[in-house]
Amino acid sequence: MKRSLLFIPGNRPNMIQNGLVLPADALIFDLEDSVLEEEKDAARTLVASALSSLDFGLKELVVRINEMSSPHALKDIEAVVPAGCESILLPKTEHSDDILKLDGWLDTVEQASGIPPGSTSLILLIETALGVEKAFELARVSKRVKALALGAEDLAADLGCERTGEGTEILYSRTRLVIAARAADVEVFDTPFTDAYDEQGCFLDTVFARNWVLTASSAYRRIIWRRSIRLLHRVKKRWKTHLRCNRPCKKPNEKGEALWRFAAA
Amino acid sequence: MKLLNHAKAGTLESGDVFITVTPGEELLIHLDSPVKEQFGDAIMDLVQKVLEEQEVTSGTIELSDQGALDCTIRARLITALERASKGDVS
Repeated sequence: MKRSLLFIPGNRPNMIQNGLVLPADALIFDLEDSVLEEEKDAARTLVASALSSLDFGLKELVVRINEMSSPHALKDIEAVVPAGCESILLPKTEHSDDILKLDGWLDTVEQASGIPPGSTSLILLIETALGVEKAFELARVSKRVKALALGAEDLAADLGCERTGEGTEILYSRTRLVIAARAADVEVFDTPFTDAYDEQGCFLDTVFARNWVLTASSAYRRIIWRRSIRLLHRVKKRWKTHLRCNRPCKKPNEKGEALWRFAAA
Repeated sequence: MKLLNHAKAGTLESGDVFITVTPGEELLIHLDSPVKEQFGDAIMDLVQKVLEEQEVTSGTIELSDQGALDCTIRARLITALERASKGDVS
């Protein structure tokens, strides 16, 4: 169970090195928005080289590839999957066909690389109105899909609304994704809080989401920036106690597993 | 791999290495690094190894190292070589 997923720009070697020591539960190496078009090749090669040679310990290794409609997506897959990428974060997911095509690419690359078939997971980044509407359907397209993640910045742009600190404009989408993920039996990750220097805002937004939006999920997980890791884990630690006190287990035989999930989350 | 054009990769930021590749008749490697005294031989070995893997036997390779890890040097060199071989002028 992951509490925190740390975004790392894929063409910044010093930030990739930081991923070795920062206490996030998962690392997302970004090949999309944080990389200039003319540097896509360099970022892809750098991330693949880092994945294949550095020891990131128990952290889950995720790569955000470029959009399926771009000429980079297949090259991204061919480079990072053999190098040790465990999960692919697919941006702007809207269409089942894209997931099926990616599923096929992964089958081919896994087979060619001697990687167990089906072992590379998919996290679907939902960041458009169409994606929110189709979230449940998208989550069930492939067995590789293990989570939905909300990308609120692009979603706000798609909706034509202002992204505010209070986040009321994304309240429906946050809740909708929780329901869709729960119904599809996959995990759900909250949107990044993008103002890395507003610790108070990040704290309040995280507590709000934890209390009022994402309580339907068994644990609260969030995509984050570097400065927010310890803050997020602090909120999680407090909530862990709350969960142990207040959330009854539905079935007696699930008690052990449920307690373990909270402790690890 | 045949080098067709001048190409570059990387930056001068800390932890990175800036590499330029220029086609030429003979193989020349120039390394500038703040840790050249301690790790210069290891970096040159790595560069030679990557050049062999990429089957590059001639050209001028200039590296301005800013304390990059081996994986970064390898990645930046491969990127510069691929760009040079595709004829990208950058």
